[in-house]
Amino acid sequence: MKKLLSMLLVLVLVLSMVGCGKKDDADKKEEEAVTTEETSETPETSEEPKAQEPETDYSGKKLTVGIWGGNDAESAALAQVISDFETKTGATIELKTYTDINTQLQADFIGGTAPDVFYVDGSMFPFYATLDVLLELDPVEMGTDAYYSNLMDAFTTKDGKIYAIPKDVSTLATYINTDLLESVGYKVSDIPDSLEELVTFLPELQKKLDDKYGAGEITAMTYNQDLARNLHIFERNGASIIDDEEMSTLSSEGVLKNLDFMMELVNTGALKTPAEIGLGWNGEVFGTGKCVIMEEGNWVYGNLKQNYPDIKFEVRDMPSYLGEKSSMSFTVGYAIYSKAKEVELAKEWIKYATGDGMSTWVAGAGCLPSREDVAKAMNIEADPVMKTHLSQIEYSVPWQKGTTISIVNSAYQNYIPSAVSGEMTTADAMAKADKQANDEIKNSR
Amino acid sequence: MGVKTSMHSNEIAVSRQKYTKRERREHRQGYLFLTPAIIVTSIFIGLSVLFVIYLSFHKVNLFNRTYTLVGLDNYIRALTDETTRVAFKNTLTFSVIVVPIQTFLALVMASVLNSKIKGKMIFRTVYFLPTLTSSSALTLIFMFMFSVTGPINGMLIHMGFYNKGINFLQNPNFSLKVIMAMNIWSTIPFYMTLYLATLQDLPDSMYEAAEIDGANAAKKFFYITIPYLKPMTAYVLLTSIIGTLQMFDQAYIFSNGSGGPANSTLTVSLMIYRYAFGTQNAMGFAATLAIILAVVILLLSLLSQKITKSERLY
Repeated sequence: MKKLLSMLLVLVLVLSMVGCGKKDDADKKEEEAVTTEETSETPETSEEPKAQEPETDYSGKKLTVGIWGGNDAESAALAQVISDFETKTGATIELKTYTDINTQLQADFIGGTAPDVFYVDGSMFPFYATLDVLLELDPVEMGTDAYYSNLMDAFTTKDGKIYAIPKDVSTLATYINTDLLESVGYKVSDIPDSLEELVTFLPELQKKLDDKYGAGEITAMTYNQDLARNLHIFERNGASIIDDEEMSTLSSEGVLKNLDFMMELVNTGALKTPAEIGLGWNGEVFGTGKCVIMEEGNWVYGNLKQNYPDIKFEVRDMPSYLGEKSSMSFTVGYAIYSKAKEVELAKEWIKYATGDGMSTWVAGAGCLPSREDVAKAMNIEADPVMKTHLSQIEYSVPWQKGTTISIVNSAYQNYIPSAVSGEMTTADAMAKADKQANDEIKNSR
Repeated sequence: MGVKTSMHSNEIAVSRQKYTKRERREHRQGYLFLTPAIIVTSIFIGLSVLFVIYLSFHKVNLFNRTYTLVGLDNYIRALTDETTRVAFKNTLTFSVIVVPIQTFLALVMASVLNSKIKGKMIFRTVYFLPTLTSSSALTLIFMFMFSVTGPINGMLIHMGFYNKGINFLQNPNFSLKVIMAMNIWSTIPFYMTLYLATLQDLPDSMYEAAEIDGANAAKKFFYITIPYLKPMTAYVLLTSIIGTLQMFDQAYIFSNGSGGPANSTLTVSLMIYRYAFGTQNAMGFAATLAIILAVVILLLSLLSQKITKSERLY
């Protein structure tokens, strides 16, 4: 009897453990079969709605929305948009927050468990568009004319099909620390507005800073060795960093000319990266008063106001190059999963979040609206900082360049420090970067 | 002659032995206990490994489930690719430098902590702390410490070696060495604890006997402590070889995923990650790299096992 009981107990334990193993199999098997690295499933958070008098009849339906995590202000703003939407339609929204969206969303696409609607970063859009995982959207139904055209173009494929709607945009502008500037005897209006003139102005500014504060204490201007920031310079005069086959052409003549100009600026010694100064990013360098000029996106505005309130600054247009103004814009859109169950509800969500709900989101998250009518209604231009950022949209280059851009950027970031330190000429460094990027692309094809 | 024959007949008797009913029941119970582990392992590890081997011979698009057989194409590409060579060189250099230093320092520290110094308990606790921190947090801390305006540079400037700081993070000559230092620092405590545990069994009488024979501390260390710890060293060598050859997270955080200044922090795991989750559907090539890395690790582990064969505990 005793032996029978103990055998039964063992069997129960074994079966319960096997049961646990099998339940995760269905999800994990697809993930495990796909990856040899770890991917972590993030827990889904569900919202409890209080449905009162829904305008349209979606009560009882659930929509999954995939996002990446943001700071507290963004989360609060999104929660507000969600609760407004739930009140309006009676549906429930379930948020799925990704910690590493590029990796995890790919795994979800492969496993067929992607959320109905999800964020699509402008730079990842070309890749997703090739995978048949995005639902094509009708321009008339989604009212695509209302959005800024260059943002809408970022989510349109070469054959004119639209797969996502831009929900916001951020642009780069020039931030100037007025206190530091005036302490060495300049006014904001002294700063030239073209890069060519900056080549002579910045060393003078740097010398005055060194004389006053000690050598190497404060840098005149920071920059980033990142194609996401340098692209608009490199692609001037029709140059392109990739060719028609999306292979890297960083060492092409046109790109090299523009890159050499950037090196002229860097070689003045007045331009440093945050890493060379020993800090994390431009915002930190600017906020701790270690540089006078930086080029950053509107996301830094809220950060400066909150964390570094003592810094007095002014924001200006980005300097022009070769007679043309330009900047970079970073846009994120909403796309619908091609195998989504709640397609109509997903479209309603997109129309709301990029329509009536956009002002709530944009105000909370500190970015810019992607449509002109919302910008006017919110009176964005009342704040001079946001007005400057807004005005950069029309001549900004969206950060997006085919499916190979991240490979090209990796190779660029790998070899540009050698060019900056003088170890290699820019031509050699970019040739090496090209070889690495193209080898990687060829290995994948 | 007589002895040999009887031993011979004993051996035959053992191999033809029938298990008793009780023994067979115990064997059944044993298999029953093993079943959950076997099921889970065979699905998550066995099937996955087979799938990866399958993938390595194909060009794969997992999104629309197309698998095109390309035979050995991926392997030839991997073995002739320049970046792969750099990645393997980095990974092997990393392993070859980190493993001996780690093992030796752990040995020394364990034998010091085993001696009769004051405050042993405090030292043991403090020295064990690095193992408890996550490697990602450690990487960020070390990135700060080795930054241009960080404490290490401050110390070097203060001591007069340099006028301005060395940019450890951006200099290809130094970046991998910083990761090595960080890895050694964070894994020594774990191995030190293993050695310490083994040393508890070493009877003091052996040291006393050596002292009577006139041995000083160094001789005691080399002729008593190290030989006694040989089995544990075999284990430590094996696990640290496997661990260092798979290093990924520190290189990823350090170089922000790009593989560092001039590919100096590109390890094979980082390369596999970039191909597998990149934007070019290169899962087949990533699988190939993974298989090649697994073969390299297997060969090195077998080598390490062969070298320490006589001293194995298992």
